Amino acid sequence: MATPSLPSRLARTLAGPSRGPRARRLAPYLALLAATVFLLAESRHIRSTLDASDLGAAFWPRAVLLLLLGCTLARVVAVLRAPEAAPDRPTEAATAPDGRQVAVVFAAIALYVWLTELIGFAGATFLYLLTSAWLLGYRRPVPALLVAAGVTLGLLYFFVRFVYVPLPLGVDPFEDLNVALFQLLGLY
Amino acid sequence: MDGGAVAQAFAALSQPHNLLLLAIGVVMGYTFGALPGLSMPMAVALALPFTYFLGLESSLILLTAVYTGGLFGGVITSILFNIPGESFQVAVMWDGNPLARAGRAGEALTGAVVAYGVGGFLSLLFAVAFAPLIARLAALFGPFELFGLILFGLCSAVGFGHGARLNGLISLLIGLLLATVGVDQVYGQPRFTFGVPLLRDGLEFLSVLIGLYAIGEVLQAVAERTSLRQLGAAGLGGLRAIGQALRAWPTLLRGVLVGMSVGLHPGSGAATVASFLAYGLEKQVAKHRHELGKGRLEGVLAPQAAATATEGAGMIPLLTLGIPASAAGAIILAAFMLHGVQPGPKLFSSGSPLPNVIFGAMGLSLLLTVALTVIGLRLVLKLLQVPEPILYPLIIVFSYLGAYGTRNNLGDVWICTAFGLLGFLMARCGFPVPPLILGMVLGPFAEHYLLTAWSLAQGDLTPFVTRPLALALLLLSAGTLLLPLVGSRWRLRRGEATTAAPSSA
Repeated sequence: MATPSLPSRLARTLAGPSRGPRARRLAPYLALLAATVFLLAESRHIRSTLDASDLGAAFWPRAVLLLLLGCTLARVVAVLRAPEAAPDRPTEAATAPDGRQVAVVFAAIALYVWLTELIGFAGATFLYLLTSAWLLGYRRPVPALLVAAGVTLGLLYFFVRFVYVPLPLGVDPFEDLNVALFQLLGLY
Repeated sequence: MDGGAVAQAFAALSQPHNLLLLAIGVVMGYTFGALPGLSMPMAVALALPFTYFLGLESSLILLTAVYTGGLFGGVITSILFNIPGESFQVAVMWDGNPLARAGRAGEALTGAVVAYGVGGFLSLLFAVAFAPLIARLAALFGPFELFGLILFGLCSAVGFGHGARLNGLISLLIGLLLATVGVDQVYGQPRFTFGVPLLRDGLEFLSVLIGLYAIGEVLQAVAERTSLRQLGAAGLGGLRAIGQALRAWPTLLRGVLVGMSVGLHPGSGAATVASFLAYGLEKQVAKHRHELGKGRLEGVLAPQAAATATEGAGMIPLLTLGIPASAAGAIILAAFMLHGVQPGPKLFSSGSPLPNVIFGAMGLSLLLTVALTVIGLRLVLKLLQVPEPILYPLIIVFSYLGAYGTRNNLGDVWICTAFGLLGFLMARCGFPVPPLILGMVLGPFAEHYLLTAWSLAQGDLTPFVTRPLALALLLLSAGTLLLPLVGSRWRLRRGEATTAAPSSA
């Protein structure tokens, strides 16, 4: 087999370990390139005062962005010059990440934060702990319920009563409900 | 040293009510340090109002104990769960967590305890012996040298891109860029805020790192169906692990020296900067530097020793000049002010027992923190026996509280969530996360020192070359960045020569 040329071997070194087809490897760098160009354009809004005694507020972010642009371009070139990787082997496919489960877990986290704004910390945390345990495959309702209730109450007591962190109460009518609950629990 | 002052300090420290305050302070600092969302400076601040009712000596004992306990609190969760209690524990986590995952949690935790003790006691001894002298030496570091030092720390991070160093550099630059978000501190100019009020104050560092690590870690564990439960079998590694940590004394010593150097500089971000710089130094000089980040004990020892060493060193500018080196130091200074005492050179020359009270309280707090860790660790490890479907949501809730608690703003929780996804995607695409963190931490300091140096020299950059220390640090930085690339090119050429040789023969 012919030995690859030095530039292509250097390109392979710069490109790092090959992971799947070239298009998939290029995608993050292209996204980064687009973001860098956008931010460089955006940096025009930062007032520049560059002179002998003053670098100004725009100098540092622009310098970083230009370096980032250079590095990302170098990476794109390196990936393009590196040889196309072989398709995923069956062993790699067998250990492929569980994308659906990740999406479900992430959606649950995002929903939890959104619910906190709406119904407050207490209700959202209780619901999140309960449903997440179920989503992740825990099928024993009583222990799950006890953990969700116990942890929520424990955190409420610790953060509100002892360290005075104003946990979110949600919007009306949940805000009033939470205040009533906190009074009932002796937190207020 | 004034024998009378030492005797007075000893008498104050041996009072039962002061010992009780010390124990309360250590437990409080430890707890706050361990829980994401609660920070060690927050604990010192919360303890401050109680000092209204105490004498100055008792106040200083309480606040010093909170500070000292808080420097270790989050190490256990950092190593076992990849959730840093404080930002300075991130560097400890980089090797501590891989060690724990390899079934060597005991070694990692023992190493952290040893580094904490060694770092704390050595810095304490230095502080007691050389406080006024070291304060004068610290003046040798001007903005040129400090920029060189920070640049060296930044360059050392690039080595994290094990497969592709350029990915490490890209991560670092993203971190530097993220640190510029918000209203600029010097010019008052908004940078990349896009009209969002929350972004005017910048991205909250703790929210970003909790997202990248804790949430990213949970997503990664779910994606790869890995388990944390095997870690539950770990305990402190015993005498063998202590011996192993002590045998790495050059690492410990380097960590302590870095921590002392950084801790001496007011406003340098003390423990966080020191821990990252110490880790970066190990990445350059340690015997097994190429394995750092994959689970090496040196990666735990250096940053922990450095972080703890900042405490003793930080007391030097605080007590000799009245300038605090950290947020917690500033609150301790407030306690002095509340009692009408102005720290400064007179504190030493007047034979006041107060410096020795602080040093003594630090020593006792260090001992108590180590004891607390040995006793309490088994309870924490029980947590790891909790099934993943229960444990993962708990980690998310604590991360959420961590992000929310920094500014009591749900916007930070959204930022934390977004960075959780980013952390997961970075891991999948082969971008190392540590350089991003390093860029975010050291970026503002690098910019600040560069601006100051430029302004001082009126745009003349020759002091970077004419000042020997600054030049040495710049050369070291350039070498750190370029030598591995030159090395890989040389290895490629040599590989080509050896593969070409048989064919030509």
